Amino acid sequence: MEVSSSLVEKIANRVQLQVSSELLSTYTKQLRKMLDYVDKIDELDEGSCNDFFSLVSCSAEREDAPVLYDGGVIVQQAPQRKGQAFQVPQVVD
Amino acid sequence: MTNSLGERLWTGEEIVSGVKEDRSFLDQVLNFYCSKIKKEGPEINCFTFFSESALAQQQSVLRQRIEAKEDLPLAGLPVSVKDNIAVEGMPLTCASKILENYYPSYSATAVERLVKAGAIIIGKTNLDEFAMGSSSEYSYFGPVKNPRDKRKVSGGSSGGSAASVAGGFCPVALGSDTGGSVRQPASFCGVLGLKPSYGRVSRYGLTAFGSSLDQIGVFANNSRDLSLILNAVSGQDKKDSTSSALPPFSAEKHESLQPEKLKVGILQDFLKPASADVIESFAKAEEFFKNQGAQVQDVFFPELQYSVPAYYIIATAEASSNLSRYDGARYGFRSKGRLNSLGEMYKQSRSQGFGEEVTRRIILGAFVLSEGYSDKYYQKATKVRKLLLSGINKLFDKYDILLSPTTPTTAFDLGSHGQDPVSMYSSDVCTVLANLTGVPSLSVPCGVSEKTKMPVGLQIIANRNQEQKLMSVSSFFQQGFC
Repeated sequence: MEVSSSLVEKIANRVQLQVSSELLSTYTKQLRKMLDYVDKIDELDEGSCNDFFSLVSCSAEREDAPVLYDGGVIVQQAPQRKGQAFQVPQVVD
Repeated sequence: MTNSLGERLWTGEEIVSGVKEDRSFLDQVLNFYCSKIKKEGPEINCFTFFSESALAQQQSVLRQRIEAKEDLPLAGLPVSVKDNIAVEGMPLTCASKILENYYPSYSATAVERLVKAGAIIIGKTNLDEFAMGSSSEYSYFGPVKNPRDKRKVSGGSSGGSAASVAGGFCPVALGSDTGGSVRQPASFCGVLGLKPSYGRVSRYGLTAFGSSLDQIGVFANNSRDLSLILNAVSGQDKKDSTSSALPPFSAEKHESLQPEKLKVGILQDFLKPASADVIESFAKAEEFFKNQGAQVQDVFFPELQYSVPAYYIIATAEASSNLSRYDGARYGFRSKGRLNSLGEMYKQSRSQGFGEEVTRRIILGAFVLSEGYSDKYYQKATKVRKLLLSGINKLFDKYDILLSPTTPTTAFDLGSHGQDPVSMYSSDVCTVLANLTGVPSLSVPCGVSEKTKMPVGLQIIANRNQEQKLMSVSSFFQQGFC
């Protein structure tokens, strides 16, 4: 299939990635190669096989109750914080 | 016992019984590993975190627990842990810039269980970023070298854990296996590597890559040590709804092996891509089973040719979703550039924080899930997976175990796969089947290539939840063959 730089750029944008023009050209070539490789599954006739797949039945379930953490411990990991809050760029003017 | 480098080292079992008999033995063991890691560790680059003070603290707590006569089946056993598994008080980087300076506020269930049993977490080990790779070269901390030959890769993605055991820095290690990431580096480094059945070990605290494929695994120099660790870490966990309800694996329950009753299938499709020197070593292992009276037959499984493409579709699709949580807001790395909006913060932090291979896989994963392509790729791959599961179930109706080489070649040179990700993917050809079908599989050394002088691994695959059989066969093989 045809994979263009603009398609790769569009996908990258969707997954919140910014790709330089140099890398965009590399990724486009590599994505083409990767898709050529995985296209092999097209050769297989899977017949009436459906796509529902599960390796496990959920056997262990924890109680549906909130787990309380010490807020200080969690916020301490933030790259930027203000007191006990995460600090991010301004969202509303 | 001697390790793959010919060094005389303690087995895990010797350490545990030694510590129980003589408390000063604990100091002797930890001093030995500590000085070896400081002296030889940096060249191999298998550790991302090692701290003498963290070690001293654990040593002091353990001494008190021994004094209190607690039941400690792993007393004083040093274990290294892959740096994508959470250990409270130690960094969790996944060998990625995006998790720079991140310290988890909890330990993985597997780690909690090890510590409860008296093990010492000696350090965190290097890996391919977010466990995506087959050589441990895609790491923010630089590549891991193979202790057997420092010009070669250690394999991946758990290359640091494999090298830590092969290099004699600890007797056992934890890794994770999504498509062969325990068995392939075990084979490359000449140690044993086990991927248990999906669900047998809780994944709570294991950084998610491909959630339907991921499993925590174990490295050791012998089957007995593998069993000791599996015994401690297996069992149901309410924090992981996919964990199996089966009781923990028993290290004491030995399944007596009658080789003449053992039905062995040789996966011929995995011999096709193997190099001549690997085939030669594998043939000797096959001969061993025949000579012991096992019923050995060739088996053909044509759908296997679709397993690697299906694996890369499913694994990247799950990865693109799992890695969406890294956004620079709550933990880890945030871009230092001028960030005018939340969108810019996400985009710049992720673009600067993820390495090239991870970026490539996120893009491929998002593509195969996108509208218009998900039927062609993702849905089709899940159907292939179902056919593989039905195929392997039929094989286990006839055979007790399946054998193949673990990898098509021995460890390759550092940097030799360069900019060709697809050529790297093909090194997983023999291992992804066990992840796609959830069965347990183990790599055990089966000689050294005459050509490359590097170890060759024998892959043993058993039916779902038959770790006991897997261990019996592995132990029987290691004792008789080596």
